[in-house]
Amino acid sequence: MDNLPIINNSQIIFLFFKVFSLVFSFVYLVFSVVSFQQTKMMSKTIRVAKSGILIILSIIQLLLSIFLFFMAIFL
Amino acid sequence: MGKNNANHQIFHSFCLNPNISFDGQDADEYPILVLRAHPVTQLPCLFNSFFLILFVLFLNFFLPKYLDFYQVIFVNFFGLSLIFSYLYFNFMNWFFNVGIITNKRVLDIDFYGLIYKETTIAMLSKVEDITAKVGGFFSSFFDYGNVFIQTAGTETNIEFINIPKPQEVAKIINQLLKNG
Repeated sequence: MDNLPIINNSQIIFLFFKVFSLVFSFVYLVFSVVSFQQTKMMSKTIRVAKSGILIILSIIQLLLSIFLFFMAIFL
Repeated sequence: MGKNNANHQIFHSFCLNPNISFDGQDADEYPILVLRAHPVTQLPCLFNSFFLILFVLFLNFFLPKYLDFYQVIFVNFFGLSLIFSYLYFNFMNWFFNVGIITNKRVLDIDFYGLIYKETTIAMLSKVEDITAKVGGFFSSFFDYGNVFIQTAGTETNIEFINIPKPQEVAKIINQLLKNG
């Protein structure tokens, strides 16, 4: 019994945090990719003068989600 | 028609002779009126975002007791990114859900969520009846409401929901019908 690893509260919190951060940041990454594709599709459906701004915003969102995903991995 | 006499009113929710084009537009077709939901209908989204930001800030009083510095940074960053996405998503929904009235047709382009797209088209010649409805305190105060366009035969009826100046929209369509 003495050789069993003892997991304290802070380790449990860390484990939960790691799992949840990875799962949620991955879901967010998938959402951002879909959102980016959809923005491109919407911009083709209705062509306005400054649709480039919307594409840039969706790229920012995509970059944010990639950054968050890597942050969750190396946290 | 076009750039020179384009008239964008109420934060681009009521655009007369706008300089836009759309998928499936004919060569001799040009948009006369482009409609979006009145900006007032987007206020709940802004309020939600504001309270969500407050909530994220509020979390900072408790999180440092349980998480380390980098984890707290991650939670903050993640929370703010989600709020940004929520705002962006709502803006896209507002911006691309449009009603377009051209010299030939009436189109209603709707995007549901991120996946579904629905386009309803009716020829102006098939339009039979136009109903403009304004009801409620906010609708009357800010002058927005719904316009229902009934078409002849098997063509789908078209609804423009929460658009500004519904009476004026009905008047413009009526004018087009008379001219056509």
